[in-house]
Amino acid sequence: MKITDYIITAQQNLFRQKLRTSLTMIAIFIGALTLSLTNGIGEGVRNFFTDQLSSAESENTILIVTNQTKFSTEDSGSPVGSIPEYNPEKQSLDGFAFTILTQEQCDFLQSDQKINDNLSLKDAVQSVYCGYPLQIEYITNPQEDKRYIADISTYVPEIRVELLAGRLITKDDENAIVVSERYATILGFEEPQDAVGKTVHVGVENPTSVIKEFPVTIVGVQPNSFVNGGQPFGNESLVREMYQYAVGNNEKLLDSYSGAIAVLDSDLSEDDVSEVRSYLHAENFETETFEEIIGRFVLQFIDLARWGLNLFALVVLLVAAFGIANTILMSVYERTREIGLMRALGASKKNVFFLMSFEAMILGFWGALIGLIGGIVIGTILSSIASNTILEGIDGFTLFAFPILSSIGIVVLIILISFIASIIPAIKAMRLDPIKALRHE
Amino acid sequence: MNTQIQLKDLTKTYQDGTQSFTALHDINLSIKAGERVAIIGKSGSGKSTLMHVMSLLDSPTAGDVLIEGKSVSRINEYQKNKLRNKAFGFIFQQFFLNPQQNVLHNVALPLKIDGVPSAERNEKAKSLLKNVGLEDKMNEKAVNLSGGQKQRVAIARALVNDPLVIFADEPTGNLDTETGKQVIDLLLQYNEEKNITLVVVTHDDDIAEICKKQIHLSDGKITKK
Ligand SMILES: Nc1ncnc2c1ncn2[C@@H]1O[C@H](COP(=O)(O)OP(=O)(O)OP(=O)(O)O)[C@@H](O)[C@H]1O
Ligand SMILES: [Mg+2]
Repeated sequence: MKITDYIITAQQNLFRQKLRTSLTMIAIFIGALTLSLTNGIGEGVRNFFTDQLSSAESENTILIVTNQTKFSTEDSGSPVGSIPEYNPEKQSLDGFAFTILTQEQCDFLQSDQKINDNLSLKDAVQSVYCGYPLQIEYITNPQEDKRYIADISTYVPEIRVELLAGRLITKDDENAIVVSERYATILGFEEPQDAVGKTVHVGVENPTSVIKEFPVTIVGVQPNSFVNGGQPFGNESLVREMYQYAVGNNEKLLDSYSGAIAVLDSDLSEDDVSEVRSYLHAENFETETFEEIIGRFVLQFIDLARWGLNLFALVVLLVAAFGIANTILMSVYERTREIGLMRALGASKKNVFFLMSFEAMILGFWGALIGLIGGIVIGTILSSIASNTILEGIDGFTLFAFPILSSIGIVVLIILISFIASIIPAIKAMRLDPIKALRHE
Repeated sequence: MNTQIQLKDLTKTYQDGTQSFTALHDINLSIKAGERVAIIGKSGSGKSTLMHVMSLLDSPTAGDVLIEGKSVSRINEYQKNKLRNKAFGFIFQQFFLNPQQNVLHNVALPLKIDGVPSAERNEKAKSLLKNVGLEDKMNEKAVNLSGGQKQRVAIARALVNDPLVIFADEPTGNLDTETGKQVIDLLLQYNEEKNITLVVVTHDDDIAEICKKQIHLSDGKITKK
């Protein structure tokens, strides 16, 4: 049989049992509708953040430069969730980036290397901050007894962080840190401004396992943010002092850095920026922009939530699959004689199998298509309602998005589910004995 | 003339759990191309069973069926399907049309199974419907036809693939004498014009008489050839 004949025949057979077909189709419709809505909202939110990140305006492009060892998100911790208490038996933060940059590499970034005929590293890079791979033990408020794990990195003025209270770190600061709101809270300050000017202690362990507490002053409180994983910033000399203590007199370690932050010249065009990046890649550096790092975080969250929702829709579809199996089974019983006749006239087992499974797939196709259209209509209406109410003022946020590829994906997925649902009834049809089927009254 | 279908010591036993019933005993018979063969016998004597085994719809319990000299044991599923689809035409006791499909589609079914494109198979089906005088009923649902018309549709369907053999199981069993005669004349016409072998199961002595070879069955045994 030809594939078009399978499709047409299946379509005709379905149409003959209008009521039964429509009842089964309703189940598929609901599944498809749910899936297109859950997936649609996932896409919408994802698109929004992708757009936001790519259009985020910053005067300078800031590159995070490391050795060519893959970044892993665990390294920077997560800005949400609770901060674990310090446990001397355990490593402090989950990860410690062993992507060491040498002093040479750090110097290279600030050198006069030519990138191309009209661009040199010196022109492109405005400033470079090489960060120490400092690993502190804990941060604590001496007024209270609890100690919390933390990760302190050097403050880079070009990274403009918002402030809730206090001020940013300046060049002349000594022993100054800026903490995020949640650190302020767990350190015992109810309001951000309560923390400003207060002294807290940072515990650092030297190679002989002696912990020294460095008193530091909180000069500012920033909102919880993805930047730096929401961890505290300290002024350069403070971080250097702590690092020196942590590594003891190991000269080699003193000359190694966890990575560098390269602030590119604000006049660079996008093309120039990518030139710089590919040049650095060729020189065995790994680069990432802030947007990329933050984006990875947000998108991971969104994707997780989206798949959670989709899973729910898939359960609905699973239920619909049993409806399909049932419908096809009834169809097989009803058409026993017809199937027997076809076998007698030379149809193969395979022909019969596909005749029945095509019926399921066509059923799935229509259910999916109508469900998808329904989802798009409802989603579009909800999007415009949302844009005028809860999302008012947030430009460019379409709550539900239905990109063509994932819409096709939904339809294909449902057709596939329908096919799987039809396998058992179709095998039953295939195994019918043509003689018995012909004698069947 | 060469032998088209040959049965050798053929026995067919139905096994239903512990009970077994032998519907055909030691049947020996050969049919040549273009021959007219009547299978005659009382109800339950095994006529339909014999026809099913001969036409490869059913397999023998013992003995052999040879199609153009080739043993059925050496014919695989695929080849059997192809033979039934392309070389055989079937007319069944109870018409076996798909009631909700129109007449044209019913006639074209063997060609659809064969994968013939729809325009081509509809053309062929139309020309056969013309031959059996049902051209005007082409788009009618099969369920709406009279008994005689249904059987003529069945004949058209049996002929649509230009078969070498037609197996007709009591083609007139459900028809009145007059209509029955028309149907038989049609079958005879094809047998004579196109040299199609005709194997017809019947109770009717008049029909039996026009067949050169008559096989009388009684309790699954051939009593007279
Ligand atoms: N699947 C089966 N299982 C057991 N017995 C069967 C089976 N099919 C047929 N029979 C028996 O085989 C015998 C022959 O049946 P068959 O249908 O060939 O008779 P027939 O000569 O065609 O009768 P009729 O003229 O009534 O159509 C009958 O006794 C029938 O009961
Ligand atoms: Mg019979």
